[in-house]
Amino acid sequence: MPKLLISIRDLSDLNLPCDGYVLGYEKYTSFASHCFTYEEIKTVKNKPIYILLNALIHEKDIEAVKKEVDRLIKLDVNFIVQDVGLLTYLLTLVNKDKVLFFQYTLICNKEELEAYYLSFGVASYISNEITLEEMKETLKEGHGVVSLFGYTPIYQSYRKVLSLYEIEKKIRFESKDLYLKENTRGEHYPIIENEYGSVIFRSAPSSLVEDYEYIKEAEYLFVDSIFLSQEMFTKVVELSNKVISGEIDREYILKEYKELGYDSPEGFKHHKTVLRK
Amino acid sequence: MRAKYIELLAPAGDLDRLKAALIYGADAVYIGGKFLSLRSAANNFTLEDIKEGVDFAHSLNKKVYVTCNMVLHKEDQIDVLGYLKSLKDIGVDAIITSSMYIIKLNKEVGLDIHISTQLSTLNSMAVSTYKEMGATRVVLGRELDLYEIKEICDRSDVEIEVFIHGGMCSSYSGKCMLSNIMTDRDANRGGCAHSCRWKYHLFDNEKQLFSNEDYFSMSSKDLCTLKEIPSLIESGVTSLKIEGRMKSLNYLAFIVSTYRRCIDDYLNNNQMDFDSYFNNLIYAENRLTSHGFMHGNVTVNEMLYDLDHDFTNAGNYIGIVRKVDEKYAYLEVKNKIIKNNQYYKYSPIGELEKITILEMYLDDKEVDIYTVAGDILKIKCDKPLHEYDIINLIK
Repeated sequence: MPKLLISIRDLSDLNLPCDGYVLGYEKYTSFASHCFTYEEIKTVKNKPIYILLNALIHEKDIEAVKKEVDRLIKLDVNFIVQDVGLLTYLLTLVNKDKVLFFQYTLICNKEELEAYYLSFGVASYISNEITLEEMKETLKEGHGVVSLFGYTPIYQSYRKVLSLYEIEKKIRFESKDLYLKENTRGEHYPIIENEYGSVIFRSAPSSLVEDYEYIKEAEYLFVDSIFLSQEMFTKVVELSNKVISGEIDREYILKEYKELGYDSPEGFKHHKTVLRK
Repeated sequence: MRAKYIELLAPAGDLDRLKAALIYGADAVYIGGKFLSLRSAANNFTLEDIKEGVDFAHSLNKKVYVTCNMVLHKEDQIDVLGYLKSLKDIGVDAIITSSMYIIKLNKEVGLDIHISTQLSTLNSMAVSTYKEMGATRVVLGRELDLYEIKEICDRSDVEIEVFIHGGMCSSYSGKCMLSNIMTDRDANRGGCAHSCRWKYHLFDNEKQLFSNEDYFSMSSKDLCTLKEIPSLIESGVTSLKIEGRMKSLNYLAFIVSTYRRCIDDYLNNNQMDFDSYFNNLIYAENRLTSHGFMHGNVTVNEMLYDLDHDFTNAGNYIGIVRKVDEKYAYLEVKNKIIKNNQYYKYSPIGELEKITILEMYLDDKEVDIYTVAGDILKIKCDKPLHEYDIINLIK
C-alpha cells in the first residue's frame, strides 16, 4: 500500500491524516506551498516530516547547503531533493529510506526508475508526461513516487523572470498571485519567483486520485497543496486516504469533485506525448 | 605557446555538416542517430552515416560523439543495448546521455559516457557522483558562472564540458514541459516548440496587467562567449561546445572557424582581435546574443524582450562550393545569386575574401540570376574557389 505524503501550508495541517508531511524550508526550496523556518520545524514533535529541498544546488552554495543539511539532520527529519549532488551528500549521512528523489521530468519508464533505484537506493518521482498505462507499467517493481494531486511544475528556471521584467518595464508587481497566459491560448499558468529562480505551473491541478487503480504500486503518493484552497486540500487528503484504504471508488471521487466544482484535467492520461518524426 | 589543449566541439545535423564542422576547425562533433536523439527535427544519422562520419573524423584525428539524450518512454526502448553495441563497433568516441538506464546498459558495452546537460549538473558533488557511475565527462548546466566553472574543474577529476555558443533554454535544461503542455510536443523527446520564446500576457488573478501589445517574455538571448574564452581555457575545462544541431552549414562554418581562431590566438599567445571575431559572426544566422550566466545570474541584458526582432543576418548565405575542376566551381545555391556581383568567399582558413562571379551556368545554359535553393550552378570567379568554400553577401 502506498504511503501518502502531503505538503502543508501551516503547522495546523499536521492534524491531517497521512504518512508524511512535506514542508518547504526557508532555504533551498525552489517552490512549496509554504516555506517553514528551522525554528518552526524544531517545534514539531513525533510527526514524520519530509523537508522539501527542491532547488538545484550551484557550486557556490555547496558549503552552505551542507551546513544547513547537517543542522536539519539533527531534527531527525526526512528529505526530498532534486539535486543529484545533494542526494549523494545526504546518502553519506542518513539511511536511504529517509530520502526521496524528486525531479519532475526524467523518469518515464520502469527501467529508468529501476536504474535510479540501483544507483541511489531511494524512491524517485516519476514524470506525469506518460499515460496511465505507462505509469502502471513503470511502477511495477516499486520505488516510485507519484504526484497524486496538485499543480505540476512545467518550467523551472534560475532566471528571475518576474523581477527582470519589473526592471525592464520599470514597474513593481504588488501582487504575488501572478499568472501567465500565452498570447493565443486561454489557460492561465501560475508563476512564482524566489531567490532560486522562477517556476511556472500547469493551469489546473492534476488528479490521479480517481485513477488510483493505475498507481497503487507506487511507494509514495504525493498531494501538493500549493495554490489549493483549504477546503479543496482537506477534501483531497480525505479522498486520498479513503481511496488508498479501498473505501471509495472512482465514481464516488468524481461525484465529490463535481460538488467541489473541480474538473480533473485529462493531461497525458490517455494520450501519449508526440514523438516528433 | 600556452601548454594547453582544449577541444572545440561542434554540432552536426547531417554528414555534410559533420564534414564542414571538422574542416572549418572543430576538434570533435556531436551528432544524433535515428534513435534516442533529442533533436528530432535534425536529419539525424543512420548507422551507415555514423560510420562514414566517424571514419572521416578519425582520418583527421578528430572525434565523434553520439547523443543518446532523449528521455525514454517505453516505446523508445527497442534494443537500446544493440544500438549501443553498434555504436561501439563503429568506433564512436563517446555517447552523450541523461539516462541512468543507458549508463547501466553501457557497462556491458564500454562506450565512454558524457553526461548530458539535460541533467543540469551545477556542482562538483553531482560531477563526482556521475564519475562514480562511470562517466568520463560531464556537460555542465548553462546556469554556472566562470568562477563556479573553475571551482568545479578544480574539484573534479573527470572531463568537464561547457557550452560556449548558441541557443539557451530559458529554463534549466530538461526541466521544462511548456512545449509538451501547450503543443503536445515533448521537449525531452526532441520536439521542443520553443514555447519559452512565445508572447505571453501577465495577469494578476483575472486582471491583465499590460495592454495586448505589451507582451511578457521569458525568452533568452543566445549565448556568445568569445570574450570569456581565455577564462574558460584557464579554468581547466576540457571541451568547449557549440549548440545547434539544426543550424545551417553556413552558421557552423562561421561560428566554428571564429571560435577556432579565438582559441588558437589565445593558446599561441597571439594578439586577441575581438573586433574581428565579432565581425565574423555577423555572417552566421544568429539570434541576438549575450554572455548568458558567465558573469553571474542574468540581467535584463541577457533576456530578449523584443520578440519581433530577435534574428539577425538571415539570408546572407548564397551557396557552398561542392566540387571544383580545372576551370569551374560547382556551387550549391542557397539564396539568390547574381552574375557579375561581388560576394564574400569564406574558406576553412577563416578569411573573408571579395570575389566576383564572372560566369554562371545551369546545365550548361548561361544564367544571370538564379534563385532555386539546392540546385547546382557551374560558376567561374575572378579568384580560385575550393570545396567547402562558402559564398556570402557582402555586409
